[in-house]
Order: sequence, then structure tokens, then C-alpha cells
Amino acid sequence: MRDEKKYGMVIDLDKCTGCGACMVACMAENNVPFKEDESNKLDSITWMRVYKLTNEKPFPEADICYIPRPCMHCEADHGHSPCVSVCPATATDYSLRTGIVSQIYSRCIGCRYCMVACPYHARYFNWWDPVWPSDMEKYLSPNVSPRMRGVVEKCSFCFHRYQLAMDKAFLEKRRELKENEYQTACAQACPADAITFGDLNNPEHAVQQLVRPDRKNGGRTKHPRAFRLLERLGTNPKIYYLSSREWVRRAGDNYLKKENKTLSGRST
Amino acid sequence: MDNALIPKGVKRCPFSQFVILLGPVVVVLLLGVFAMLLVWLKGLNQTNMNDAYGFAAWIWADLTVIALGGGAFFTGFLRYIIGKDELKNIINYAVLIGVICYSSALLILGIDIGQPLRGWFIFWHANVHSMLTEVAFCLTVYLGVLIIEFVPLIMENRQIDRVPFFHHLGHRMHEIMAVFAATGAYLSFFHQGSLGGVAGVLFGRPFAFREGVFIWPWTFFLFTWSAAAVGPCFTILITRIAEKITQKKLVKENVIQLLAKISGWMLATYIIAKIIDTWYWAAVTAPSKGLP
Repeated sequence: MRDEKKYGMVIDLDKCTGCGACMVACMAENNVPFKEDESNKLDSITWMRVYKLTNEKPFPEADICYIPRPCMHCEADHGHSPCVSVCPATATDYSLRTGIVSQIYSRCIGCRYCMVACPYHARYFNWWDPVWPSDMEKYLSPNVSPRMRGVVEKCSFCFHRYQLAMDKAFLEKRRELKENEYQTACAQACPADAITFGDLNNPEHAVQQLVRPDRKNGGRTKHPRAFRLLERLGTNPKIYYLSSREWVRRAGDNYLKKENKTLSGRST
Repeated sequence: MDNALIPKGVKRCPFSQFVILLGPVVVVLLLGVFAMLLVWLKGLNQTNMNDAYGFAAWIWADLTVIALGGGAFFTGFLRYIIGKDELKNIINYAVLIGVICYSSALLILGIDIGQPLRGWFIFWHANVHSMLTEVAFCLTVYLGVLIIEFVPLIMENRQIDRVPFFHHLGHRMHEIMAVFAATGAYLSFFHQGSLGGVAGVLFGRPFAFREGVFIWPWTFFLFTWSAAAVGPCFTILITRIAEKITQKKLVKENVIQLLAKISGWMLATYIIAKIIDTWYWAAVTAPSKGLP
């Protein structure tokens, strides 16, 4: 189907420096609220979050890797995302047109079942009313509605940008977007060019060329450097990571001690 | 003054004793009301839950009050469907406890969701794939059934019984109560099951995920079985507590023994089923999801 798109990301961890520009860009673009005291990360909101991995080895083998984690926009082989199928009020939905998992803030009742279901901790609850420092409200993005206390929110792949780009395309009597017409804030902000965003179904897009996902097989890739987080849960994330380091690729999933083969990429 | 409202042969205890015995219950109730107002006015941040532990309050409540209320549905099932007539002495207050517990559970659902005013969205925008939708529907409808079951008990009051309309209403309702008891048992079986399914369907969470039949994970059936097994135990527990406090023998020993025997057998079979379930999860399901 020409219409069917699967927007996704390829994040090259060999390039990521852990600077956090993607997180800042995401917060500013999507009006993500913050608290005066952000020291407790268990109740703060970060749609895009950079984690630090270590190989837990002493010097001189000690090594670290930064791994940015947006929402994975999963689509399992049976067609369900872990979060979408559990929402009692249909406040989160999977778009077959774009492959994006959406969140309807004004319909969310705040039961947090989706957060429990998400294996990536990509969903966040608004424990407090959003309060911005005075005058900062003038800097909020007019394209994204701020969320109220008591609802769940998460990365939307900057869906408002898709809507704006589609509006423009319709005006020009087009149905298709060019690759550069719709890009997420994090992908544009990354100074190391580690994040590539686009349609995983479109052979002209860089993401497709980078990992060549197998459409008939849940988007699995044979790229030797590529892996997806918790691949064997069967959630089929649309975020692909690239790393030349074996320990980083293995950190992306759980392995039994006796296993010596990684799911994607080269074997040890 | 209120002689007409209390049954024959029963005497009021001294007022001071009444207050002392009721005091602790009132204190707990007031604490609950205070907590409820805190959450509604200031938000769920008052509960100390967080994103890593976000599903706590109503699960805790469900595992306590619903378990207590579980006595109502299974005792009703045994009395009206299986026809264990000995249970007629115990069914009334099992239903009373059921009404209290299930209405509390619904209230706690209303407190635990981040946007209580949107609670009705579960019914309006219902997602039929969600176990929580099933829980909400069954809880609500079952509370309705419990209230219908409870009405004839109110009608039994001697003063109310004098009004012909209420007398006939109570009588007629009692006659068709088996239909409601059956409906209630059916609904309750389903919602106990869907409570078990809440965690079991989470295919992204290997520690909770269970395989099963069609859309139902094994925990769906295990929860139904355990609720039916433990429900009568709670009914017995409350009977014993009530007997201790009132210092009266309220229920005949053979009724207690009947419930205890049924519970014992069901719990024994449940434990076997649960061991098989846990073994299968540890040996097959968890490793397939990469949980070492």
C-alpha cells in the first residue's frame, strides 16, 4: 500500500555523545512540564531520555555508552502495541497510516495501565499540574497542547509537525511528504547527527537504507550493527540502534548466561 | 422509642460501649475520607506513587475489599444455584458485606484515576480489548445486582414491612432472587477473572505475562478459582469477628463447617493449579521472553 507509512528512527550509538540536546529540544518542542526540583527522576517527565550504559568492567576495559530512548511506537506481530490494547478508554491509538502510537490527553482518565504495560518506561504520568516560570508561558509551542494533571503522556514523534507538513502538502495538491518535510525535534537537534528519522517503508528514506527492515517479519533487520530494545518481547519497536560494540548490543535485551549469540548483529 | 425498628428479642447495648466499639471504625473511616479529599484536591502526588510504581492504590484495595466481598458472590452461588439451604442464615450479611466492599472498590477506582471526572469514559469510549474495561463493567453491573439483592433485606424491617407496597415488593423480589444471584455470580466470576487478566495480558512484561486460552491468560482462571475459594474464608472470618465483638453465637457451626470444607477443597486444588502455572511460566514463558 502506497499510503501506509511506518515512521521510525535509527540512532547511531557510536555517534551519540550523550550531550542531551535531543532531550532539551524535545522538552521545548512539546511543552513538556518540569518541576522546580527535578532531582527525583521517578516522577519527572522526559519523553526523550538519554540513559548511560556501562560494561561494568574495571579499568582499562571500562567502557560507557549513551542511549537515547524515545517511545518505541511498537507494533507486535499480532498488531497490538503493549499499551494500546490495554487502555480502557481508547485514549491511546495505533495509526495504521503513520505507524505512530498516539495519546489523546483530553480522553485519558489517568489509570496508568499503559505505563504498567510499557516495557520501555516511555510513558509518564503528570503527577502535578504543569507550572512554568512566569513569562516562560509566552515561549510555549502553540502547536502542542500542554497536558493537565492526572493524565499520561509520551513521545508522539512530534506528530504536530506531521500535521503541519501534511497541511502544506494538501495545499500544494500532494499526498506524499518528502523526507525533509517531516523531521522530529530530537533528530534535528542532534549535533552529532546520530538520530535519523523517516519512513521505514520508503526505500528513498535514509532510515530504510540504513537498516533495511524486513516488512514481512515485524521489521526485523539483518544489519550487523543494528539492534532493537528488548527484541524478544515481540513488540517490534520502530527505533533501531546501531553500535559496533558487542556489549552494547547485548545490553539491549535479556540473555541467558549460556547464550552466546545476540539476536541481531554478529555472534560472539 | 426505636423499639419498632429493631428485631424482637434483641436488646441495645449501653451507649458508652456502643461508642467505644464503633470508635476505631470511625477513626479508620475518617482517615480514609481525609486521604480521599487529599487526592481529589491535591492530586495523586499525595500517594507517593511514582512512574516506576504507578499502579498501587486500587490494586491494593482490590486485593483487600474485593477479596472480602468475594464471599458474597460465591456464597450466593452456593445458596441459590447449587441449592445449599443451610447457607440461608449467612447469605444476608454476606450480601451486606458485598455491597459495602464493592461500593468501596468502585469509590477507590474513582480516587485512583488521575482524572476522576472522566471515569465514565471507560463506558463511553470503551476499549473492548482492555481487561480494565471488563473489570469496570463487571464491577459496576455487579454492584447494581448486589443492591438489588440488598433491597429485600431492608424490606424485612418490621416497620417498613407494614407498608403493603414494600411488603409485596420484598416478597416478590425474594422469589426471583435466584435470577439475580445467578447473574451476580456470573458477573463476579468474570470480573475476578479479568482482575487476574490485568497483569497476565501484558505481553511486554515477562514477569507478569501468562499464556492461556484465546484472549484469556491462565491467571484469569486462577483468580476466579482463588476468589471463589477464599471468599467463604473471609465470610467465616467476618462471622468470627462479629461473634467475638457481639459475644453471641450468630451462625450455626454446621454452616461454618460446610463453608470451610468447600473452601479447603477449592484451595487445595488451586494450589496445585498455581504450582503448575508457576512452573510453566518459569520453565517456558519467562525464558522465551529473555527473562533469565
